[in-house]
Amino acid sequence: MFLKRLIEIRRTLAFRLTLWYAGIFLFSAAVAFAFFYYLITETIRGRADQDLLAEVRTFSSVMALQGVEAVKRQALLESRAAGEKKIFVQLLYPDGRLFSSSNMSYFHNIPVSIEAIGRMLEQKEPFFATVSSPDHRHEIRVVYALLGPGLIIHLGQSMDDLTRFVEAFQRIFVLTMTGLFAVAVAVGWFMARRALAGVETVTRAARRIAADGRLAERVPAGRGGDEIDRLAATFNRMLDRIQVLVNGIKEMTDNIAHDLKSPITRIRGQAEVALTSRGATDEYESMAASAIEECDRLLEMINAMLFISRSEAGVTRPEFRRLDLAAVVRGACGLFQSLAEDKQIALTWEAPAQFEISGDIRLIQRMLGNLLDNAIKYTPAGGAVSVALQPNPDRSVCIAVRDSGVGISDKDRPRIFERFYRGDPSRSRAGAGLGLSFARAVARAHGGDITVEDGPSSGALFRVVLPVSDVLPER
Amino acid sequence: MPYALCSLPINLADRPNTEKTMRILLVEDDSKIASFILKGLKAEGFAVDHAADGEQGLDLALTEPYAAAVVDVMLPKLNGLDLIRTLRREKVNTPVIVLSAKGTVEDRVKGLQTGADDYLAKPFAFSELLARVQALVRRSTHAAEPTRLSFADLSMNLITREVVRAETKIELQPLEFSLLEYLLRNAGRVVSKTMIMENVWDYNFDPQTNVVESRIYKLREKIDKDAPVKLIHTVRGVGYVLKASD
Repeated sequence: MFLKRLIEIRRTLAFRLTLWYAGIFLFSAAVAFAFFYYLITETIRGRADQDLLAEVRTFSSVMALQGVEAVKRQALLESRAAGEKKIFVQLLYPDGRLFSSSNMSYFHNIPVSIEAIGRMLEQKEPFFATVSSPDHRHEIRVVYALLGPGLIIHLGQSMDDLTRFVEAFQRIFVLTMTGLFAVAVAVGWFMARRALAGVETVTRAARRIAADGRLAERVPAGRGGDEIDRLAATFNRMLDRIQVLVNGIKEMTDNIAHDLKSPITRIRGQAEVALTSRGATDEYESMAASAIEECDRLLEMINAMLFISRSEAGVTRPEFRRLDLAAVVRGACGLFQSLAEDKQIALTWEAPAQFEISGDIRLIQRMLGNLLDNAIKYTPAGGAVSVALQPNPDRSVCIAVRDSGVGISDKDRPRIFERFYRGDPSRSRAGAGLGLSFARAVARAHGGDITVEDGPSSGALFRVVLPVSDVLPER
Repeated sequence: MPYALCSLPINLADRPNTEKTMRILLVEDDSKIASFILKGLKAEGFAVDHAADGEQGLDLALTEPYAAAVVDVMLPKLNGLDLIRTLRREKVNTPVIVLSAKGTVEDRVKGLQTGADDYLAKPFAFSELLARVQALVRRSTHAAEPTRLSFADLSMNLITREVVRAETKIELQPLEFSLLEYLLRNAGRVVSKTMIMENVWDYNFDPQTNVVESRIYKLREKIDKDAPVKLIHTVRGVGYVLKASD
């Protein structure tokens, strides 16, 4: 349980942020420490060199004033005064041979470097070196210098100050870093949690909504406009859209249920009566025919509804090809001509010789068919229906279908493109009420839209506006 | 020549080998759908073998020479599309119509890419299936394209576009001409309103519109009005048929 919780925590963003924070914090602290360490050790070493140089100068003046023997005495005195574990003094010939020395029992394994002597003689300057040996806890700083012609002094000083400082420094370093790490983790964790608290709120709200399916609920969003507020607002907008879609589906299923039940009742009833009454063959034939008609209507309605809801949900992918919209308009009007003549309606159309757009020809044909069918249906005998295809200057094209019927009342106009909306509720034909919403779905699937307004004198004027793309696909 | 519903293995020696009879393979697991297709195709003079699963269907298609095959997609044992793929790999070029409950564009494309020759979405009108089977059979037997169509005392010259009924010339509008041509090509067979709209005018309208009725009415006025025997008949709920009797 604890382990599981630990693994869970390890996956959180807060954990990773904290780790990063502490890591960067510790790295900076370590860099600062290293810098100080370097600075302080250099200072200590510099001071040791100064001390050694001062000694060399003392020995030089003794040599100049009192001669070699005085130097030998001075060497013994000096080493005793400072402590034989602290410093040593050796007097050497230029070839490295020992001339005289202080008590070297403590420093017996410090070698004389011929190379260092050579370098010193060459540069005519005291030559410093640091020697460490496994016998000594501390490093030893040595200097070679020329005391007089044929005499070299080799001075050494144990760097116990430095060792003590390094040891103290290491202790402080470990203690401070441990403390700092604890502080860094605490501060980092606190800051990460605080920053991510909003995310956690959104997550909890989302989980609640997912669990209960209460799509009406919303994530509490602040007005600050920071990242978290924007996340919450986006999340809420997504919920809005989902809610609209779900409500649409619900409404549609209600309508489908209603519109499916009546024809099924008719089919079933007729079949049942035909079976039980044992009627003549022509009765069976008529029953079969009516069943086919009802089925075709149902199928048509189901297909239209599927297309409409799929395109509203944005999941249809129409087959866009290059098509001549003018030819499609002329073709549709030509086909409807005889239907209009039957009702003594004058159907006229105007379109340019050719007008190419990118679209799904089957959908556009169906859309035009629905609009023409609608116009002819609602225009009384002796009336007129006109269709016009006009390119707009803003890279779009308008198909206007005008009729001289009764027009659309103000009450109906906002809802006329809704599925199953019937201006006249007495009409019970299945699938009726889908034609205009199908047309709108087609227009929208092409990136356009459809509007309706009152005609100039009477009747209704439907306008379909479709965009014209610059690049036309293959035919 | 009608056959009883075949059960496998089929004894081919029993089968009369008349050249006239076209053999069709039907691979469909839904017995009710299979039964109406069998009945309908046999009534049209086809000999039909039925397989109820994909493997059986593949065996038959690989061993028997069929004029065409009607294959459902969702089949037990072997998927219809895999069946067609195997057939094509084995270089069997029997024309195939795919039946599918899914009618989306992608499904159609997938079906045709597999090597099928035609695609029909369920539910379909039997008359539509029949027309497509006949079109495939005609294509596979390389029937020559006629220049004249005639039925009873009605004849149509496809080159001069002349239509004559009982030695009287009839003037037809282009839309009416193509409608009559389609009816003549399918003489004796029922064609639905959807078939007319899509095959004659290449238009996709809601079949609830009365466009086809209106055109048929006008065509009748010109063809049948003064003739003692009517040729264009309405089959209620199904469509129209060109026939000489009542």
